[in-house]
Amino acid sequence: MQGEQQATLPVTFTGNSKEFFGIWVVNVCLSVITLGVYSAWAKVRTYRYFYSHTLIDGHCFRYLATPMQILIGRAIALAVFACYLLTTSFFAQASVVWVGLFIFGSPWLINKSVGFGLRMTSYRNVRFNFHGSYGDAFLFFTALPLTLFLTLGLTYPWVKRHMDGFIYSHTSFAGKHNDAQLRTTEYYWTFLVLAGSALLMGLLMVLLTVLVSAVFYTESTSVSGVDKILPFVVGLLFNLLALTTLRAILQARIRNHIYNNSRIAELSQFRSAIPVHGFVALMVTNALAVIFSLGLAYPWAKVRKARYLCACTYVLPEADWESLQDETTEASSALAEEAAGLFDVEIGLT
Amino acid sequence: MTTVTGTYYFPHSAKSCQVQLELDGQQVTLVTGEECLRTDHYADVEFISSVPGVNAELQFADGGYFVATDDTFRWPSRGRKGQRLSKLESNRGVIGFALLLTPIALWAIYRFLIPVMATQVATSVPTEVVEQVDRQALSLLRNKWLADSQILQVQQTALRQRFRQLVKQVATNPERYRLYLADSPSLGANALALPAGSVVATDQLVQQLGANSDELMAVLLHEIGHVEQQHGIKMMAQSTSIAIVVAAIMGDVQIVGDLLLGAGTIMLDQAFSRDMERQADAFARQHLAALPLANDALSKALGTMMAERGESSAWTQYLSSHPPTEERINDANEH
Repeated sequence: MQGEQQATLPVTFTGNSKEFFGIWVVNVCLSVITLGVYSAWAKVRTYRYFYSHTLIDGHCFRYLATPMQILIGRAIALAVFACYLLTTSFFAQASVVWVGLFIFGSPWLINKSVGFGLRMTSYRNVRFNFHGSYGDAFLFFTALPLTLFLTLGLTYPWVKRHMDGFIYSHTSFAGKHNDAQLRTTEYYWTFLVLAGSALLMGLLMVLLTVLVSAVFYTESTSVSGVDKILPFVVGLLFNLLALTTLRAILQARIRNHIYNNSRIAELSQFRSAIPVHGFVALMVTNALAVIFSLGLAYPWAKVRKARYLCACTYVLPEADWESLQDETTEASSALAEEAAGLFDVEIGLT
Repeated sequence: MTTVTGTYYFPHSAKSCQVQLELDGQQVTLVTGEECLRTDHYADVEFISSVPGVNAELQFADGGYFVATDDTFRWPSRGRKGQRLSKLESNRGVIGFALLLTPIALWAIYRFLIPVMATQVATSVPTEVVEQVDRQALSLLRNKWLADSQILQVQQTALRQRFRQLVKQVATNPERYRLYLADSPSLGANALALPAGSVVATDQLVQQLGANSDELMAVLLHEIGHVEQQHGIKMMAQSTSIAIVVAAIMGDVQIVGDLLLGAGTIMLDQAFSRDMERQADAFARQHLAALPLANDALSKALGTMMAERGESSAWTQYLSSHPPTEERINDANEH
């Protein structure tokens, strides 16, 4: 690995679904019979499996968090969550306090959870790190979203561009900062595509409803009541698949954009070439497999997705990586990441 | 002595080299070519517990790190403690057993643990809180669904008197009960109970069953049953704990989709609700037998309401908050 311009390095995923199935089944079972306590171990083991099977240039990633870190964070998050549920169901006024806590707490939580995830990720014995400030997080995750109310959500692509930019531009590896040059126009295009797809699927849904009701009202068989439950099930399934499709489009386009415009100076550039149609097909078949196997296909779907994403990703090294030094020292708490997960403000870095 | 080849990463550095690792039971030695790279006591290294398919790893105290090349290699002796889980995760028998045990365990938690927890919570919630919930729910109902009753004042007074008498005969704490009559075209013929003892009956219900009828009293008895058995608070505790259990166990599972998870939670909540309706029916039935009211009043009331409303089909039962009316009538008649 010498010189300035290197060959493109592929990212490979070497995990297999059969092996992960065993890990997953045993971990879910242990999580259930320990009433969720074991889920911290399950999370670490799952992450370790996926990270260690993700390779660049023959070196794998590592997940460094310990189950205890996750467990403590999860316990606190759960306690807060329970407090929230209890206080708001007994006193409606309590929600005002919670809204305040949420507004001023979430920037901190976002910084902590993104930071924890990155600091617990290492490649070649060097950790990632995050440097987002509270002020910036407040600006991008609390202040900018306020414009959504004034513009009926029209500013959302612009807000999302800034949120992503905040996260990816404050990520560093071996003390070298990533620079993500994201374009607002790309985000607007993506949401236009999403709106178009949603409209198309809405029309399809109407068509389907008409078709289904036509079939079931001509030969009325109300013996078992299948005529009543079927439209409901079909509708639910259709909604789920529509949602999966939209998510897949969003993820594929935005991930491509972020990776293709990210550069860690004197380290590397990145390429992501996810074909949108291919990824939608993958995610929809994954969802169908998981639903119709009553969840048993989940490990297969997860491995399949990881393999696909890795195969679409490349790294263009700009320097000799051997000389990199780890510059992270501080330990980080799992609390923020866990709390963010439970309150559903988690930000994925896939 | 055990020897294994692998990659060694220097402390806090991306610099790495291929090494031969030797274990002699007390010390770890790294050798590259002819040169000895480092020697550490077992106390200064951490044999990282294994996960199936993940190569054996070793963490040195100073930040150095070793990963074995052969993915089937496992640490002997000292590292064995961390291998128990890994063995379980790759054992076919254990996997099969876990596959069977998981749904059974989930069912047991749902069927036994959560109701017990809910009862515990329901008995320990202070009365003031229950009253607060009651007031809030009532004002919410008034804003959205309930209008002032159109029933004649005389009839209202008579009805309240009958209700008061009924409560005195069956309730442990009659003072907490209040009857609210309200016009509600949206709710239709309906009655509902709030946790602290507010019972709401709609004009539509009174008109359908008749203000002086035993049937109306039977329906009110059913609602009193809800209050007596603390169903309101139990329901809240159960929904809360279901939400928490789902969040705790499914924390990492996102692929199933919020929609499906949401639908599942609703179905579980509704099953609890159906159990409570059965209990309230049983309460009404018991007291009907002891009171100077027609014994078949409850089944008659249910029959009238069913004829008016129509009944849902077999499949939709799983989404319904009440048991099928036919089943309820049969139960009411058996006693």
